[in-house]
Amino acid sequence: MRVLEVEKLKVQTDGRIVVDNANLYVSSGEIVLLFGPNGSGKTSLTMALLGHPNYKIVDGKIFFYRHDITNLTLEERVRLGLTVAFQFSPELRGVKLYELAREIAEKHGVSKEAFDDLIKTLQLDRLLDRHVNVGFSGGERKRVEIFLAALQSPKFIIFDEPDSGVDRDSVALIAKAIEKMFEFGLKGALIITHTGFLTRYLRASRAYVMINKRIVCEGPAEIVSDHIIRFGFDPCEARSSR
Amino acid sequence: MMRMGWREKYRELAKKALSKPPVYGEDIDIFQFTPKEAKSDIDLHAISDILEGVGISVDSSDRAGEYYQLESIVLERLSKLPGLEIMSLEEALDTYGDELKDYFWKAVKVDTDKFTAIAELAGRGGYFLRIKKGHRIDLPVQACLLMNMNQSLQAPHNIIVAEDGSEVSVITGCTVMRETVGLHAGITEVYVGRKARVNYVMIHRWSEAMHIRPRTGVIVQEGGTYVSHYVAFTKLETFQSMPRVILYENARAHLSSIIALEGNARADSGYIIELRGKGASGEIISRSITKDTSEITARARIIGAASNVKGHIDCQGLLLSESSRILTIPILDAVHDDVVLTHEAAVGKLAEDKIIWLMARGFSREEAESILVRGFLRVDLPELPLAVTSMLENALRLIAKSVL
Repeated sequence: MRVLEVEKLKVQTDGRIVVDNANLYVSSGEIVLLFGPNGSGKTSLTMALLGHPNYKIVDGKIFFYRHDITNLTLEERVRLGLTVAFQFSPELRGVKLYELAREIAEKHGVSKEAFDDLIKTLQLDRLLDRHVNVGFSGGERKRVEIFLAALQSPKFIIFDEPDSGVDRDSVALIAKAIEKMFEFGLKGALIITHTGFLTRYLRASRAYVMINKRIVCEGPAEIVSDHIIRFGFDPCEARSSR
Repeated sequence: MMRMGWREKYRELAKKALSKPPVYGEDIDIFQFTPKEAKSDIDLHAISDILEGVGISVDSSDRAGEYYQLESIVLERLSKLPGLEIMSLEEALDTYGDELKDYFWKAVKVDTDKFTAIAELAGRGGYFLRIKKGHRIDLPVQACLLMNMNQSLQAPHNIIVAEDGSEVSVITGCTVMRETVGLHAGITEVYVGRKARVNYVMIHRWSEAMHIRPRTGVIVQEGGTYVSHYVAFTKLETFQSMPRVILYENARAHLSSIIALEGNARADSGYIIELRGKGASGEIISRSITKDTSEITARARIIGAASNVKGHIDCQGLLLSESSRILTIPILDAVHDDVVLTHEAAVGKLAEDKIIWLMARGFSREEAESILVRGFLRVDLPELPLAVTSMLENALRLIAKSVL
């Protein structure tokens, strides 16, 4: 069963095409990686899949459990169980992390035990009384982002660079939290990563490589990531220009 | 009984200032408004919703004392505690005579402008509150100033004297019982003694043809603390206020104002802190929200005039409509070289990236906006009695809920 399937997607923002003819899928139970250099269109693809109003789908289709969601709004997609853990999450002055987290948890019927368990797993105790992301370190921001996304109990999530600018300890905690999300009903995940750092702690099945607006390679996660570590994105680029 | 020639002097000064325009804000014709004698037999329970909207609890079980004034008539004044005196200004003048001289037009100048002048010449009532030396009043005192008649002038003269080592919290709620055209120009003088503390909370709610001109002055002696929160979510025609707080050695002040305007309301609002004694510190925090075609000028000025003083200004503005306006004017004025004065300011609409992020967390757009507005309105409420904190939190929650 394919949780998410993207067909020939073409995305425009600010009058420019930022994703062109992108194809990918994630099956039930899968963790799939998306590699690519800066500016290749990974975050734009993510925003288009979320339904961000500034990212216009000009061609192609998105299926979620075989339903065509191409024309659904952000709110409707999130309600179906699709979400994104952002690469850069905003500071919310005056909004206490604990209060926001409780509000999300209550909305999605997350038990107190599961709530406390996530706080423990992600080591967030000392941040709960503070204002969301205000003065937080890079690693703390990523942990908070994953904490709040986990409280939504999504069916599918895209993690936009959860391992960038993060200390090694935080990466291990994030990996553990992602595993927990699968216990809470997560069916699939697409993880955008530069480094593949997270794959030391998590088993991904397949990987895609995006270069210059297009998805150019696909293969078993280990082979693709090994390839990138040894040769960079070059071999893929050769293929993309063919 | 007493001569009180000093009172005459103030009347003479006031007469000369009757046409003196205000330094800030819009000038208006004050002579269209006159003091009104309202009926004094109103049932406060029947308007408890209106009163609660400005922090006044009709069932006053969690209040140490109260004062009610409707238009120019004093309805009620009551102290439940021995260390606390509450009377109308007229009663205080009768009781204390010349002894009141040191607290009369000393924190606010009688000839500041036409509004202080008219208050001296035509104003009635106002509360006199005295907290005796060393007495700490745990429950808040509430004062309610109501208006309900057209072309009315309400200009009470309030005086709070917190003697050395005393502590009190005062909630003042000012509102209209129905849509009225009027001028509210309340004078408030606060004298905070050595190591005394006054927490002063004022909540306003008006109707759209009201002009509001409070005139407030505060003098805080050595080691004293003055905390003030002004909250208004309202329609009105014009508002202008610029309380001045003078701090002597090691005195502290924490002043915040939260103003949300609707309709075509225009406000010019701020505080002045003068750090006159060494080691004094003060903070001015403002949160302005504009809807419709309203306009807010948010001022703040801190004058550092002694060694080792600290001052901070935090001005934030949130525009909820395209045709409203917020102007912030923070001023730091160092007249001594051993001072630390800082400010931060930001004005804008709700950030779209934050709304999208919250929507990705499962909130609707409306819910996301409400979370952000609630966050915007959250200001520190340092060490206030529980009854005051919860009243303020309720007031802010109500604003967050209703403003969108």
